[in-house]
Amino acid sequence: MTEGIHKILERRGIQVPEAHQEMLTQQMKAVQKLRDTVDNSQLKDFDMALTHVPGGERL
Amino acid sequence: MTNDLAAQSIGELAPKLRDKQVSPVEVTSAVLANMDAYDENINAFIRMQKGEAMESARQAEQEIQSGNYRGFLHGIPMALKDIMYFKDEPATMGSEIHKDFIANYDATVVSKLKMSGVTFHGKLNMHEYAWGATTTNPHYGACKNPWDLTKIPGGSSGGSGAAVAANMTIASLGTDTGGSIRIPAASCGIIGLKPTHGRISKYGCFPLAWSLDHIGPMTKTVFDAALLLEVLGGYDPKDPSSVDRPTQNYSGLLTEDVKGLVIGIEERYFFNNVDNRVNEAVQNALQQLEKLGARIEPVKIPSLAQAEFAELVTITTEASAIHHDNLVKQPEKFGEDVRFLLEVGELMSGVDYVQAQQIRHKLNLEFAAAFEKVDVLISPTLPFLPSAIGDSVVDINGQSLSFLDEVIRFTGPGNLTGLPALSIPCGVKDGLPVGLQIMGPAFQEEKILNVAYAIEKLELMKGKKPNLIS
Repeated sequence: MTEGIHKILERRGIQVPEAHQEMLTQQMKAVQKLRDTVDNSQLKDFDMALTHVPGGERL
Repeated sequence: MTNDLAAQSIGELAPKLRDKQVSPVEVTSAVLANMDAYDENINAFIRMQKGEAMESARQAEQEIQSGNYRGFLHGIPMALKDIMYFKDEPATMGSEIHKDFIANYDATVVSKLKMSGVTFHGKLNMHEYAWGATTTNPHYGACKNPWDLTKIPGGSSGGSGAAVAANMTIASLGTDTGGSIRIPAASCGIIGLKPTHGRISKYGCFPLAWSLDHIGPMTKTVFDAALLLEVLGGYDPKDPSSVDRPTQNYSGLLTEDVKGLVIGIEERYFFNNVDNRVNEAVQNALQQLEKLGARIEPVKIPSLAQAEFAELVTITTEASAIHHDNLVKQPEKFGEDVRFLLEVGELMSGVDYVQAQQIRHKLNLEFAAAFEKVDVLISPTLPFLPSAIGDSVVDINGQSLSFLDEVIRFTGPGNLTGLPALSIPCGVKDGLPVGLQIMGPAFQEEKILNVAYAIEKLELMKGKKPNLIS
């Protein structure tokens, strides 16, 4: 996992300090645990309700 | 006399200024004297502007003397978080990267305060780019809690919380993306109001995460928060998320009457894993409100179980989009903690972000349903008392937990939904203040302000002040 994380960030042009590598692995494990709380069967086609003003700026 | 003036609220000072019983110069001098006395220890200021403040105070004095009193804020000294733009002045955002940035326009909130005759006397310390909740700033030094200098003041608007609590300013503004007004308000024993998303314009304020960002007052009293909301609220076409909804005469609507009020309690989420001392203070406040005629009603908001995921994904991804270029080109200029969080944001997926927005919509519908049954929701603002500077874990009833996870657990839902939320002190435990959070329906800030006003009148703080100034 650590190697994968490192590669993703490197591909995005981000240099990861050595000290962060293990921390990032742990953090992403924690994120995965949170992902597991998301009940996709409930969300599926539920509207994300993102809105933009047609025409752009209101000025 | 001097320090007494600095300890007063806007509501106390304004009539005296209007009636020429005290002058803006006297009030500003009192505030500057406290900055000299306390800020060496607290470090709430990134930049002090004493000369400009005295000049501005003299001008206000002249205007008032000549019969041109502009209203409640005229001649009131305020210092703002160093993330709001003042034309031709530096705005550091608490960062190394922006240390020489000069804004070329006023933020909407700044221009409204200028118009109202506020005397500005400095820019306040904050967590770097508002991305954190400790205000242990690697570039401008750690800000300390006036109640206990070994503890954090909370953040990201920690300088604002500390300066108001230590009477180094009369009132301030903070920004709140995951709790950054309410967390320092709770930690420093003051009032912090995050209004409904879109109520106060964010134009001219450096973003942390656009869809979660809010600006709001941090004050000594509920009346002051209401008053500032009156001045700062309103539609601004320059802010794409500004909403055109009428504001109220919030300060005039404060009655402290809570008879018949229905208070919702979401026990499973907002009272789970709370420090016993914090819980005791909040339960006491609830009992007092019941004695005044309020009724407690349990509510269920099932999607809160997914709120932590939605908050983490939304805040990290939006923040990393904003800072991506600097993370690639000059990562060493970020503090270690902020750099780490920006790296985390780069690792979230597009699906994560969309699911987070779906959860936000679901949460909004569930909160709206809850507000069909109850008037407000009450919870602790924080599940723990202010922690020691440098600690990355917090102790909750003997359990060692991640500070970052715990600190926004109760405040984050207010950002995800955009609903108004306010923190008010409800007691002191082991020498540290406890914050109580009140959430209300969208654009009904008057409801949460009135409940806060009733709590304020209960005098649950029993006149206790930070050690440093008492």
